[in-house]
Amino acid sequence: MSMSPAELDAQDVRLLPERATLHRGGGGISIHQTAIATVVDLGGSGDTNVAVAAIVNL
Amino acid sequence: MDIALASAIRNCTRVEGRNSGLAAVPPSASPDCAAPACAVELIGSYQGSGRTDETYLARRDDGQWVELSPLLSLTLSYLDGVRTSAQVADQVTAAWGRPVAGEDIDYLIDKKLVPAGLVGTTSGKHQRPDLVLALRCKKVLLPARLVSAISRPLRFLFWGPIVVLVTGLFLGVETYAFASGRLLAGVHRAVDRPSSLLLVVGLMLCSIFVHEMGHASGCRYGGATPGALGVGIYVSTPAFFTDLSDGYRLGRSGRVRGDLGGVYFNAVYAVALFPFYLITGSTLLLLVIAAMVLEIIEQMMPFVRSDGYWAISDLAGVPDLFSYFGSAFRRGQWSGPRGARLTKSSRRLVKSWGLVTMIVLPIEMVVALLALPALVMASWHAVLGHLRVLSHQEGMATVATAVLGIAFTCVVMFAMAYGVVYITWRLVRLATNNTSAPHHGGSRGRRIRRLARASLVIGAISIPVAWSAAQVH
Repeated sequence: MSMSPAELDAQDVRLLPERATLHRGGGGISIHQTAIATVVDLGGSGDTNVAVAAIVNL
Repeated sequence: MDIALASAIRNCTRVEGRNSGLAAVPPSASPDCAAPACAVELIGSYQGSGRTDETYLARRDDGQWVELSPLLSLTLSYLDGVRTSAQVADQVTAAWGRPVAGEDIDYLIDKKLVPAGLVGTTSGKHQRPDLVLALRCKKVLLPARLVSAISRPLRFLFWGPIVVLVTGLFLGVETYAFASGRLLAGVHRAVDRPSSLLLVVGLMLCSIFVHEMGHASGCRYGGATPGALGVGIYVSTPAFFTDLSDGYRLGRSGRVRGDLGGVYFNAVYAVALFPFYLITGSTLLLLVIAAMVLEIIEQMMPFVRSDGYWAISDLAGVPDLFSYFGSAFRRGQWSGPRGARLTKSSRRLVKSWGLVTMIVLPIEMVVALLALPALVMASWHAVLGHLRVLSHQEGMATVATAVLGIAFTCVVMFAMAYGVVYITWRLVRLATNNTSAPHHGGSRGRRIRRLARASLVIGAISIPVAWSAAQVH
């Protein structure tokens, strides 16, 4: 061998992630929506259903 | 890397490109002579990479993109199923300017190129990256050729003066929408009348399609070919996507244009709807126009793999930010997975992203967990309400509505519970994988680590839920 094992092992090969740009389709729950809805709810509406409705996208 | 080597790889790439990618093993090939997998394509250097060392790109026959060191790329370019390892070594030595032996080539093939699916037969399943918070169970809704056909004529919208014009109009339209004081009327109208709600839902669904076409058109404007449009499961909820993997062949600005093309087309959509609002005076249209701002804000959140994440990833030149998550907070000389070194500006950006994500994502998780008991209670009351309807009323429509209502509530609650557990598990695994020392201890050590992770997940979920449940009670 002309190259050292360490040098050969350092040769990097990496599988790249698929570039799939996401757009949530609704009908479900996103963490962001949950957080926003809950913060809005805690902000004074006092109605948990506001959060529930927002979260399930009704 | 010297100019001669880059030129050698580029020349090989061009030759293989003329022959429709690297050819399959010819009939006369010796079994001792390695050949690339069918249709593996060498793309060239990875432009706009955040790494200090130059890397190259190849694309497998199954569409998987692979980043390679210059030596591996050069080796791959000389493999043809006819040359022996010694002959390939001679060619690589001449191009690289450093001595490489046949045994070195054999090592690189066996340990690097074969496991990555770049050399050997194409039969069987190739290795795929295990990504944190990635889209799963993908199904194609619109094939790539249709996406290309639709996006091609829309490229003109990315011409500089038009971008400036649309952005200005969008700001004006949104200012009017929020300042008009008519949005609340739109909300009431949408909630009061089922037909109005249906119209809003339909227009919002259209906006998703327009958004995805924005990605495809932006990608195509830069010279890459967008892939299929489809739907999949993101953590536990449905999500639409466009495959922009071909954007890896573009430079940094081309990739960022593709990333931001979606939100830009949300702006185009809002501007296009505004004349219809002026004609009809419908507050529902104004509501949808205003909703585009919320869409854009949500899409630009960089903590999960939405548009904001990809934009930061491409600005930093790091294709998988999550793989650098733990490295970002290590002391001493900073390096990413497998010792990848980043330039100063990329390092700063990745560290900033990591810091903000480390703060915001757990906060959002805790907030979601705190909301869980109230949501369960509300869902439970909804199910009881449907059951009461079932027991007191008759008729097919009533029964169907009640059953659907119960099923929907159960699915939504299951999706939320699953999503919370899944994200917590992946974050704990990510943190313990990246920040701990090399693992020792064999199977017993693995069992202890799993137990520790499971305890962390259970603790992270149960404490806020229990606290919140006590408050609700």
